Amino acid sequence: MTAILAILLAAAAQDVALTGARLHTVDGDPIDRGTVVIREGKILAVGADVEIPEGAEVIDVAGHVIVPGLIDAGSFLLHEPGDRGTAGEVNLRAADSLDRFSPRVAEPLAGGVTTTLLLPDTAGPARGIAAIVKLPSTVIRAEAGLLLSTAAGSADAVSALDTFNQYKALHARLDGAKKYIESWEKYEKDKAEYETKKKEFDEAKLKAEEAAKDPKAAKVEVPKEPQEPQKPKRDEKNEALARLFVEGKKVGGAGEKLPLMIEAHTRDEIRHALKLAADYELAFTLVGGAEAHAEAEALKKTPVVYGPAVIYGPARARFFGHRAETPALLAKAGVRVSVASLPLAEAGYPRGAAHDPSRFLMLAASRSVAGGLDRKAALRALTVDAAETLGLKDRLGTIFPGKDADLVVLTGEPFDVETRVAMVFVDGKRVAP
Amino acid sequence: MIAALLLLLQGDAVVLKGGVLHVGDGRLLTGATILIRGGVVEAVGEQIEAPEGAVVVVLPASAHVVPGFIDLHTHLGMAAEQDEPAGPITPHMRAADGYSTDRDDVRAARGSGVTTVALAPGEANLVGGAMSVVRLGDGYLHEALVEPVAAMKLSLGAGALLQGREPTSPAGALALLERELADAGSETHRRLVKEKKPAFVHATTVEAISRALELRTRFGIRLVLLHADAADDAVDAIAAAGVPVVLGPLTMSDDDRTLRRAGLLAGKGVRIGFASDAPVGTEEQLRHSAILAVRHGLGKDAALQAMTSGAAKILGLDALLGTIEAGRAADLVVYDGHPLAPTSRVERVIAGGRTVFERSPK
Repeated sequence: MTAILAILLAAAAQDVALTGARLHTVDGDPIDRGTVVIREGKILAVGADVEIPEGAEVIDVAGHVIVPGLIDAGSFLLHEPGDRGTAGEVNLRAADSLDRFSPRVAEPLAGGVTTTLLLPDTAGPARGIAAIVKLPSTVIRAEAGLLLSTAAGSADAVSALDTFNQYKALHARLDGAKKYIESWEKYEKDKAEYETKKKEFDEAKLKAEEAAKDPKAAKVEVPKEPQEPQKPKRDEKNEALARLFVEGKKVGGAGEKLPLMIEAHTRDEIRHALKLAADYELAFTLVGGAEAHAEAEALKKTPVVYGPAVIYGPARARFFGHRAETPALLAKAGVRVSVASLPLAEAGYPRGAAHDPSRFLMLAASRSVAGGLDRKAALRALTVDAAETLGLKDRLGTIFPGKDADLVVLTGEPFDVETRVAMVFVDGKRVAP
Repeated sequence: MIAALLLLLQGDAVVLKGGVLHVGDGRLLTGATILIRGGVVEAVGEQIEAPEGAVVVVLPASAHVVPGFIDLHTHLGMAAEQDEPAGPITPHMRAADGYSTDRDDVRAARGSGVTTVALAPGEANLVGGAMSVVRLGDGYLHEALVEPVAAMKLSLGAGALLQGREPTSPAGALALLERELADAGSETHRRLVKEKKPAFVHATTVEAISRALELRTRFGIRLVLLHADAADDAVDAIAAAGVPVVLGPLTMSDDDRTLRRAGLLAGKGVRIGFASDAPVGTEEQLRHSAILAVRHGLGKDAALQAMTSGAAKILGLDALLGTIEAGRAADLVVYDGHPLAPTSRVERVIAGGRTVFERSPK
């Protein structure tokens, strides 16, 4: 009996207790000399005075600092370099085109990034459907949002006319999607009408037939047989766009409504993104936002997935207006900011390069601290605020019982220049170094 | 009267008190006072009285004062065309003549922490022309020019090989360059062999580096290797020759080999400096390059010196620039924390004794 129990216990993953570290739980004040207990991939207990379960593996990390796993809120991490910049389509899913065995994931993981919003690695106004991936390669949400872009042209050639034309092109696409929805609505309505009429017809026909058998019966009028309405032709591109407005089943497909994301960097691009969303009464997440500080007031209700990383990149025309103060100014205006490695890739680096800038996510966020964002807010941007923007706040972003055990053990305070990543846990498993 | 006028033009005396002072040569002073007058540092020490009428800036203990950083290779403020590619050898060209202060990139650079830049011709010519050292002041070029012909820019890169013009091959390039250097009547010979101006040679490959080292031995030129991507494979030869190497800009997309190069070279005793290579990078990226190098093995002191006194030595302008000492140009930057902490920001920039940038209070 005991032997069976022992086998059962061995089969379940061993509990892990990280002890003695300073915990930045992110949802409260830091806890000094705290303990985190991990059970079956989840956080079981957190605190300064936590009982360690019997048989748990105890890892003494005294003198270290633990933060929630970092979230890169917009990357191209798992895409093949060769896939870069192909023309996108709205129904293209990043989750379907990723490289599950990407060698490019190891460095970001060792840098503390445990989750990323994987953007479709495409060009053009309609980019595709983004996925949320736990590193190294577990897709935890295949359809996290639909990415459009008002950032026309290249990083070096920014033109107001190109931006406007791209906005108009998106307008046409969304109008098309609206028509597509209407065609399905009309079909559903016609179908319901047809079914009623068909029932009436069938009943009348039956009566008429019975009446015909009985010569004494009065003659029954049979209405004209109703025509069955034709089902609209399924169009996957329109369907993806339509899902910004309605659930997939409303347009002959499947899946929930898709959150809208719009990539925009310059002030002009951001204004067009705001206008586009307003035109269709859609909420959206802004991806990029190099000059978002200039539109901070207008962006109050729009989360920004922001790339401070861009400052470490080359001086490209699209990012001239960028300032280290951008996140601080957005936060001051009440905008929820998270951090992405994307803009650096957008700035002309080889996307999915062997050494992805995602590995420097925390260093990139340090720039925002230099720009006036307080350290607490900067850590929130990398964790819980990103989780909220991605719709995964119930699972990620803080060190709290019941949440995923995605943890980063640091040698010192986050954002200090000497601080290094000592250990990374994803779903309770140590994955780096 | 002229002296008085000059004094007026340069502004009144400025006194900076307190904070941590990085002299630029590795020394650290805490709570020192710096007296600036007439565009130069007049005195540094603990017992310095502020002269009457001086502007006194009291710094918090957490502030750090460093010599203004020196960007060893940039095309800041220059038009897209930095070369005169009609001919491969254009030693008479001066980079400063293609420079304009009335540009956004120059204005943005004033708050970057870089106070001095070595403007360079591009890499399309074997001998591109003179590199000019310019101070990022607040005035026009004549106020900003520190040294119109500080060094010469040479290129052994693929960019110097053009179709339809000599040279079209690496061997042809070398032959042409050797002929030019040997010609006692040439401007190239005068600048590099007679005057011993530093020769910044664009040399990325092992072959280009070894050819540059050979030219140094043959003609006794003062070689500085630029963009030496293959320096890792030639590190012993470079160290033995005592040739400095200019690196950067380093970015977050570079591989570890690139990011470790500065630490590797410095560890072998090679003098290093950094370049923004603007518009490839921005002037702000000079410090970011140093931060990335520090994260990959370069010592903090070595990184700071590479941007200050070490860079001044590479340019041969160390009697003028690169440290905060009596008699040196008053080019200095106040950070609100350690200058190599990524979270630190520039509070004040003084270039040539004048405050050219001050962070506005929130």
